[in-house]
Amino acid sequence: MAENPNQHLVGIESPGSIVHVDKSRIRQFARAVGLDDPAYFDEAEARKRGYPSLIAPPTLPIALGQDVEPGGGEMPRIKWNVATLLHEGTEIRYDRPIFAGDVLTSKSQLKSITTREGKSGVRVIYTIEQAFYDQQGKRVCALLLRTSEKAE
Amino acid sequence: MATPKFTDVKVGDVLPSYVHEKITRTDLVKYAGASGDYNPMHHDELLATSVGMPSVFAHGMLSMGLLSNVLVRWAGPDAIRHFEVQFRAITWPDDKVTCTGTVAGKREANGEKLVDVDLQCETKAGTRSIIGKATVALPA
Repeated sequence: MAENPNQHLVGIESPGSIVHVDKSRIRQFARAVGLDDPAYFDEAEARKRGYPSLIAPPTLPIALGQDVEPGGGEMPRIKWNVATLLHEGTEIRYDRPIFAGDVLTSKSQLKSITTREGKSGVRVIYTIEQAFYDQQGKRVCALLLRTSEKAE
Repeated sequence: MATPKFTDVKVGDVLPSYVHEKITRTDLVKYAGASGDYNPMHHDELLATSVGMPSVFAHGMLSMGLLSNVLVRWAGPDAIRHFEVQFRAITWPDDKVTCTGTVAGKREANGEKLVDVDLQCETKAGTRSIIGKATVALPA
């Protein structure tokens, strides 16, 4: 098999991007996944629980990439065939909850390119790591995303 | 519902399930907008069928989001420490998604009372679209 054209991206961490976590995105995301706890919608209710503002849904970190400020680094620009892409798995580690008003720095990299035998042939698996840090540089959460495409 | 206490939780306990009655194409568009994942295979029926798929299909991460309901409705929105899933089968429009969890273990670490939970989403009898596991922290 020819060398994967994305091989040169492996292990290169992006420069940090700044993300402002905002209330509108939290509400929109919570609605999209069926969460109905008032702590995702009503700031007064969230404060009653001792939260500084609305709390982020558990899988919101996956969506924060779209909210980065201009000028930062980007996710690895992997060249792949969207028509055969499948999401293989996701892992999220939480160091603390994320709240509206948090200003986070996102860093990402393509960790590895591997293959596996699938039901309809070999699939190439891309593992992307993304981590978010607060303004003191403490990690808030880390994601591992595994996506695959059909091997050429 | 009140958050369960660590001491009251037993290995094998079944968490209240969360059911999404029917995946609609509107659900997929809502999730695309909320997540920023505009892979056309999730909203462009012409493209999806042109590459041999029977229709558009759901984002894996939409199912992980639906599954998160099992955790936050049981343990609260700030309790999750770790959450991982493997996607095993595609979720299609009109599928009913049943999200369930079972207590797999209890332990203490970093001064917290932690409960490990096995999770899954089922789309049709016997078809698990997701298997996963999570760790939540509970009050003593």
